Amino acid sequence: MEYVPVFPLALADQLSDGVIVATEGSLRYVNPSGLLLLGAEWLEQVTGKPLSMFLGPDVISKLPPWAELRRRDDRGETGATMTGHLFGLDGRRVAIHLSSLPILWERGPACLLVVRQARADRNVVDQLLLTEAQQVASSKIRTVGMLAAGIIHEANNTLTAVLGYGQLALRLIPADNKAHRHVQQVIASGRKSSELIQQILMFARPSPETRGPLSLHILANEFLALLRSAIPSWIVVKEEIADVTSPIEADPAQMRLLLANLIADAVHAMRRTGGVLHIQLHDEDVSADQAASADGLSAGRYVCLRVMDSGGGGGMDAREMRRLVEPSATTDVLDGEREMRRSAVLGIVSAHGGTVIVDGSLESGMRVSVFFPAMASCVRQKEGSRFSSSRSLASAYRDQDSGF
Amino acid sequence: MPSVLVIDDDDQIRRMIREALEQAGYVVQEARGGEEGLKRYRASPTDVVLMDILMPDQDGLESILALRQEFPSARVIAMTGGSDMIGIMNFLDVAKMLGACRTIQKPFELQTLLAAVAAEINA
Repeated sequence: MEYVPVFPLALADQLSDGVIVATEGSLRYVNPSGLLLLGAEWLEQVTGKPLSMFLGPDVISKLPPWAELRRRDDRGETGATMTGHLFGLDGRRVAIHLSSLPILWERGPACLLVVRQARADRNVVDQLLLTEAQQVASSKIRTVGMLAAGIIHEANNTLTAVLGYGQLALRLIPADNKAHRHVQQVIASGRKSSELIQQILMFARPSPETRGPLSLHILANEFLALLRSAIPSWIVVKEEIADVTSPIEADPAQMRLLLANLIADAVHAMRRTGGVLHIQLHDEDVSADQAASADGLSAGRYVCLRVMDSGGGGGMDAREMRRLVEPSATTDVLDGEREMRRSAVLGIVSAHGGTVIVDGSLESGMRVSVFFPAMASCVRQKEGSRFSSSRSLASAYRDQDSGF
Repeated sequence: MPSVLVIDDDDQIRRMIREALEQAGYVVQEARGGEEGLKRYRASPTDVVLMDILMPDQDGLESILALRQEFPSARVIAMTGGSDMIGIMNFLDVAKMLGACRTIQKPFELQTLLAAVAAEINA
């Protein structure tokens, strides 16, 4: 029997499949994905426990004899693949695909098991993990919301005093006195802060969905003015918002949320390295040919919102975004807040009949393009737009490739 | 001279409002909270009561209710820096339901405050 001589633990820790190492029929090592499958939080909960405690009889009976390594025979077996069931510490019964391989572990013979949930079960468990992550994120957001409400109350009281005393002082200072202008500046700053708080409140305030014709360029310009102050100074913001875009049928509150989530993720990607945050908004005509090669788009006019980062490694890549489109393809437990952001993006876009196209890479930068169908009755030639109305999807991407 | 009772737990804001109202020719009384405000009103009713909502001892909503139960003709202007951003309630809407005649969101311009007080006195 041949043993695989090297077993890289660092690699196993990154795998989304469960990896289990057993010697003499007992567990010695389980990677994080394996711990999830076994319903354990720490390695110590499972090490030393017999394989038969977790693997169903349908798996144990099919394992090659060397798997339990109670006897040292040599039949030239190199491994096996099978399907069966696994039992977690929490009592879950999970359908699995399992592959076994003889390896060397701490200079002795051992058995490596690679465990993957069967697809049908994976959906259920993923959903549970996602729900749990969403609950944690949701609870965190509520707590932050309550703290923010308290801070806003205090800020409003402080601004009341700043504005009030400023206006009282202004009455006492002659208009030609330099101090008069200084106090006017204090009042102006107080008013600006007050407006900023009102804009934040307008964004945060829960409101029933009100969908109707919306000029996204107006909303984007207003909302980006608010968001700009929240973007770190080491990230350069480049905006290319068309002077006019076709109306779309959308809920303004949801569109603000969409923008906030897309920008938050791009900023997250560049939070350590800095870079360029590029935001584009314009009409785009998709031809039948282009639609055939663009997944989810049909021919017609769209309003295209594109948010790009210049890389840094921390954002959402195309693979991660696709996971949301095909939830069954993931076994990773993602950070709750980022998961919420991505779910929000896809949820909003899909609820508005739009399409998300993600490309690029974490290193060179990600480009998230959101296409909303222009309202049929309102599709018209744009006036004064900085973009050509015949600008195509392909040419837009070519431009991006050269400048992004 | 028309009179105003200012009920606010924030000393800075209370004094600022007092000064602005006195400059405009009103007689002003102050109270740091709802209970103290009610006592002062009982002792010497004013034409208008300016009532903050979020206060530590007896909040503005309770105080409006108590004041209006005892003095149905009391004219109250509710004010707050609080928000409804976490979806609990809009304090100023509730204050109106409880009988406040007008509401003012903090921070406000002095002109807005003086106009609201004048409007209630002339109502």
